[in-house]
Amino acid sequence: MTHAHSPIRRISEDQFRNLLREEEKELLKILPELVEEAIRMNSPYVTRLFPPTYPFDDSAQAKVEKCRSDSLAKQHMEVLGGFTKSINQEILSVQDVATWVEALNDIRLLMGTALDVYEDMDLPSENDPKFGDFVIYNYLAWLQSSLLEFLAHEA
Amino acid sequence: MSKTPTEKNDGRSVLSASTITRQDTTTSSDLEADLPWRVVLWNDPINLIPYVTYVLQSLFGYSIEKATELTMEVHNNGRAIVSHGSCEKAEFDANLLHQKGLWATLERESA
Repeated sequence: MTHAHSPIRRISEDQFRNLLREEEKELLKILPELVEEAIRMNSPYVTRLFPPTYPFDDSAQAKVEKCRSDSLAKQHMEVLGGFTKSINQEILSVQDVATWVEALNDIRLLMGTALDVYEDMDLPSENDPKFGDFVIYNYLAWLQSSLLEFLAHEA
Repeated sequence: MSKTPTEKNDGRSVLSASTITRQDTTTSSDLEADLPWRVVLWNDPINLIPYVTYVLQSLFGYSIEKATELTMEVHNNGRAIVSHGSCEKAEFDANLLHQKGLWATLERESA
C-alpha cells in the first residue's frame, strides 16, 4: 500500500514536512480534546484505552488497576498533548511522528468503540447519522497508516 | 485487527472479555507464585496490522520477521503469546502494550 498523497512527507533521514491543510489541522486539534475529556469523565468509550490484564480475576485486576490507573491515564494524556502541540509544526521529528501514530491510535480506539466498529464493516450510507464520524474514522486510519510507513524503517 | 485502509479485511474480531476463550485460570494466589507467565495479545478490529507490528518491534526489539509473524498469528488466530517471564515482568510488558493501546492479558505458563 502506498500513500502518495500523504500530507506528511519525509525530507531527510530524521525530518518530515507537515503539509496538512488548515481544515485538517483544526479537526486534529479537536479530537484529542474529546478523548482527554472522555478519560477525565471515565466515559464507557475509553474502555479500550484501559484494557484488563486479568479479565477473569477481579482481585488480581484490582491490584493492577490500583498500581497503574493514574499512570496509564497520564501516559495517554501526554501522548495526546504532544500530538496537539505539534500539529502546527512545519517540520516533524521521528519522535513527533511516533507520538502522532500513538495519538491517532488512541483517538481511533475511542471512536471505534463509540461507533461499534467491527472488521469488514462497510461505510454506512450517506443518510446514516454516523456517516460523518465514519469518514473521520477512516481518514484517521489512512493518516496513521501513512505515518507507519515511515516508522517501519525506524523500529 | 484492521488491515490498512485500502486492503480488504478477512479477520475476526475479539474485543469484549466475553469473547475471550476462557483458558485463563488465574487466581489471586497465583500472583504470589514465582512461576512463568505468558503475555497474551488479543485481536481487535481497530488496531491496524502495521501498528501492531511496529509496537512489537519497538517495545520488545523483535525483528520485523518475528513481529510480523506474531501480528498475523493474532490476526488469524485471535491471540498470540508475545512475551513471558515472571509475574512482575509479564505485568510490566502487558502495561507497556496497554500504553500503546493494545489489549494484553496474563496467563500461567502451564495453562
